[in-house]
Amino acid sequence: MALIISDLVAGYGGAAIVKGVGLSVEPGRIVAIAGTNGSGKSTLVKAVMGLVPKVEGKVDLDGTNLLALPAEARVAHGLGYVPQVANVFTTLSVWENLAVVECGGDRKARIAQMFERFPALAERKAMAAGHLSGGERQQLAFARALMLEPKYLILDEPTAALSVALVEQVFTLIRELPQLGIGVLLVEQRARLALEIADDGIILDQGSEVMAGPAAELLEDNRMAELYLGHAPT
Amino acid sequence: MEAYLIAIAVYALVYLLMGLGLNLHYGFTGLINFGHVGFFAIGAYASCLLTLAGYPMPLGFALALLLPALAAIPIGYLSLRLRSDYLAIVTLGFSEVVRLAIINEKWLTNGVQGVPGIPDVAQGFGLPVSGSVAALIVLLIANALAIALVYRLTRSPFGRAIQAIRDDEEAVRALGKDPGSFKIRVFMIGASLAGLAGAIYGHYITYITPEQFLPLVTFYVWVAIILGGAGKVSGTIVGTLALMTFLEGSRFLRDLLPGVSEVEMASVRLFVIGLALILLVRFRPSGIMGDWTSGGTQR
Repeated sequence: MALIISDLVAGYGGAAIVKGVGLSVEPGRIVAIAGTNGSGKSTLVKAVMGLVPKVEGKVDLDGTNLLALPAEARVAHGLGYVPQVANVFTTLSVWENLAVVECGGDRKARIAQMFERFPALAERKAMAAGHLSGGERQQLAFARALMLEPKYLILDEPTAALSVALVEQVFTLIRELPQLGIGVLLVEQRARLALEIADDGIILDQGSEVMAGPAAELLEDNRMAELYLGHAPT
Repeated sequence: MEAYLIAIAVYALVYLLMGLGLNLHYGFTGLINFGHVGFFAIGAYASCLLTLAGYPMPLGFALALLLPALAAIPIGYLSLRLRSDYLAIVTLGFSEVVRLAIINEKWLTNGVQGVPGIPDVAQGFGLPVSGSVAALIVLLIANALAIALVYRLTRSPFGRAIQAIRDDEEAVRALGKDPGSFKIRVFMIGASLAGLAGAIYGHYITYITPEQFLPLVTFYVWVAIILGGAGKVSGTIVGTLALMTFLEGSRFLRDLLPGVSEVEMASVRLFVIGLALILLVRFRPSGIMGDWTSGGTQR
């Protein structure tokens, strides 16, 4: 039982942006993808979701080859996705953002559960999502993804464009996900913070894997720390 | 004067019915359709030709709902692969193809000479009133039903999905929904409303020619939607009223400018309409009722 990505090549038009990357995510674990701007992090996760036109390799989710399925069909296999920045439907209300999800069971009960988990959203349920603060938008994006009860959740730079004060709030949300049995694939610019909460990590550079392994080991690696994590460990 | 007022009301309600359909396309789903008049023309010819062939008018109206919906399916499929600006060009081309087909298929449509002697609405429904009044009554009923349909539809799960597509299509796919199937269905529903408007218009005017289905009709409907506020049912209603006020109110400029010749007056009228539209858009860029960016559940 895992989300296994093997030899993934992905890009737009003739250009390959991701070049033969592999990783695996197990339920209840967090895998962080770090790297500089333009290293292919977002393209990698978009390829897994089916949102990139050119993809080769293999993406296996609990025995199902996802690459054979259109993007909308992948969700039914337990894959959730929180896109980067523009991750809520701004003209719909908070309630409508959640109600747009077809979650199979009792939709209203599921929305009520989300409001219980995210009380700030309950207070603003009639407000247009475009009027929410950055932190509230992220909460809504998480809640919308959780409506589908995913087995694996892909988070594409969830702290992008957020103030420092809100970053910790978002990381607290991410830490709670493995407790729900969800496997998390986390793309993050703030590589050090991401690796601190992750079980495993992978560092990308120009679309290729330059290092992978347990997150704690990556954090301790001097070369990686200087190149990709901002500064060497003390 | 009474006949004139009825005529204005009929035209306003025809534009409103078309506008409700176009608002579904653009205001609620974000699909730019510059060929709405094509669906209007298909509806008009379908119903008028069928009733002239001796079939009952309700059947003509049913065909006017069905044929434009079927014609919308390939346009819907094209919308899946085209960026919005290219879709605009393709839909504009579609409406011109429809008009040119009407001109050239003389065996069916009588070409540029048009179709005369179309039964009016009073005859078709056996109403004891004039054809104009009967058209007005049928248009009032059709618009009431269409408003109720659009209002209910946009508050249903289907409606939330199309508005989500308008906001971010990729995010909708990531939620497990196929935007394509929603877009095709929206195109079909909006086209049906335009087709019905065309049918009632044809039976009101009782003589249709291809010249009545120029792209200008589509752009008048666009003006109504933008003036009123796209993505809101109330916006389409108010926008249509504003459009008719500009179009018809400017006729009375004749009384205010006695020294101006008839030919000059036509230009003055267009100038005043244009100026009024510019001023309204300048000071109410989101439309009179506010457009979808005004947010929330207010429609």
